[in-house]
Amino acid sequence: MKLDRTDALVAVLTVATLFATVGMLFDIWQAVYYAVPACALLFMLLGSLNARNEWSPRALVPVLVFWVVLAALLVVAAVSLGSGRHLGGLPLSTGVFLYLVWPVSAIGAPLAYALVYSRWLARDLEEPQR
Amino acid sequence: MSVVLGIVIVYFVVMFAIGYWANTRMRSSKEFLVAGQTLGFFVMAIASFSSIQSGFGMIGHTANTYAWGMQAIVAAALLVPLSFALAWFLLGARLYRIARAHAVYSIPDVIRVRYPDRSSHMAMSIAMFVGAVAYMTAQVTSMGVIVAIIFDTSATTGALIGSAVVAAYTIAGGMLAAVWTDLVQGILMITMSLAVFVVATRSVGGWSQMLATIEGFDPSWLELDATQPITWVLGFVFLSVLGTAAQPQLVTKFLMLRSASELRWGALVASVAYAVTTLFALSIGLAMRALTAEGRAPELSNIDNTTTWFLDNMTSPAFAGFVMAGLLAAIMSSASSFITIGASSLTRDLMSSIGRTVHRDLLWGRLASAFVVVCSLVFALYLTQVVFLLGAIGWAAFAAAMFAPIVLGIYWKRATGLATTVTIAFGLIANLLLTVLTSEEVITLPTYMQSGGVVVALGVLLFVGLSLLVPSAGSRQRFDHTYRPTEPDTVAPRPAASALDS
Repeated sequence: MKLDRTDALVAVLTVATLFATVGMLFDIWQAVYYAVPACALLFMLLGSLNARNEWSPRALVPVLVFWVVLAALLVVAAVSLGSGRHLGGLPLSTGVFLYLVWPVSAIGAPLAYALVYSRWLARDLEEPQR
Repeated sequence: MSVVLGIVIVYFVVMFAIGYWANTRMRSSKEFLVAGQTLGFFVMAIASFSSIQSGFGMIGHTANTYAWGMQAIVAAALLVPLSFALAWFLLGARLYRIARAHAVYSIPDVIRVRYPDRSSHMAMSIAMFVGAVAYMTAQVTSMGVIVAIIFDTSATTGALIGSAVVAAYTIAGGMLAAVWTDLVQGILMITMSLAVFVVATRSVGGWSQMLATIEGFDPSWLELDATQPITWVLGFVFLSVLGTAAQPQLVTKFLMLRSASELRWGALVASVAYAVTTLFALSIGLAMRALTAEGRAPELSNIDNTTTWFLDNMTSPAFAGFVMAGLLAAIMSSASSFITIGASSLTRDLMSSIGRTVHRDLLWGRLASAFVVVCSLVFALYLTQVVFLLGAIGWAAFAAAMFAPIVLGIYWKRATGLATTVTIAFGLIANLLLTVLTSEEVITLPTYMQSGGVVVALGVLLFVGLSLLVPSAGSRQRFDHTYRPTEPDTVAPRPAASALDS
């Protein structure tokens, strides 16, 4: 059975979802927490595939840059839980979510999409109909 | 009160005017169901965010922020802008190609084109109708509360007035009216949320003073793992991130674009707009907590009154009227989308799934829209659960039923119609059972378990597992057909079709 990129992405997504399920069923918050950025990356990679199931390295750069920043912020928020430190009047972990994860994801992820679209996906969609 | 009434009546008149304008452009079900596929990115993106940001999002999140503190915002709002971008990644290009290759006006239409099984098409049509009515019920309940305050009447009369307004412009102008009213409503929601943030934080001495007051009273309101189990909070985050791309009021908007280039900036507009409207729940919820800590507000026994108590006691009548109009906008923008989605599921999708074609589809679409509103009113007047619970049922049920069949199905050749049918049934039944059994105290879930998140995750696993265990050559062949332009197929070319003439 020949596996293509989509098969591989669906397989990894299934594993990430399995982690999240186990976490939600057995109160392992880390399993749910880290499944979220994993799913976000997989969704962005899936959505960056063109009509022929191909990626463009140039188009993937913004996706990976955004994801590394997001994942790093989420790791910081997790390890700073209960640290007693503060950011902008909030406990550090909450502050990282409100002041950094929220704006970075609200602006960074759509900008990454705009770049992927312009550099790669638009070629499939905006070519004159043959 | 007269100032409030005046502002809201002006708002109603604007909605009716848009409905009238859209009505003059109604030619066929294409205009009624997908706004004639004429939308630019800004209208589509604002309509998308405003239909997602519902009464649950504004009033329910505010109540939960007051009750739980920052955890409520982290759970249900902070990563939703990310999920908008993920929806554009996952759905944008693929759905645009499908909509251009086939006459696809609804989510069951996507299922019809993607999978050969009639059962999957029928299951999604039923899911759309049930989900649309459930979601509309939540919006009708919210409208009842808000309109009752404005018109100084009962919640039942409020629900009837609000439903009549939204039904009038939606039945007249279909999705074309829905998206253009969504645009006005979305801009109103953004403006109102920014104004509310300023007013609410100032009422307790500014943002920093507000946080200091809350922390001095009880720091757990500001922590991620205090008032609610953190696994529950993260289960809700998981549900939000996966669920947004599987909400029909958003998915359907991708079928309405006038050209592919409109995809580029839509995600940015929708994400930022949603993020801005989160300021509403964040600021009123925390300000009310600070006011309670200072002894300036009572500890509310019914948290659903958080927003209205703040507006009644901390703002001027004119500002309260402006906010009430904004809240009605949030509720009505979701309601109008669900009226047309529910109508489409009855007249176009369900009928074609049983091999029948509805002629005079515009007329039947309007009648079905009225039917959806009546069903929702009946349910709303006999259900007394809080807005949050109703909203969560609709969101989780759609997410569980639609995420894998639609989002994975349009990428993955191995996805099958059988897996689609089973996953849709599982998503609806599991959510319904869990809600009923827990509310009737037949079962008690652990406090850390977010049932909606669990059902969505299990739905994905079920879909992938079934697709691999019971492969379907027909579903694989249909995958290629999905993106290949074919002859016009206004509705499903099912065998033995008989016409349902009017």
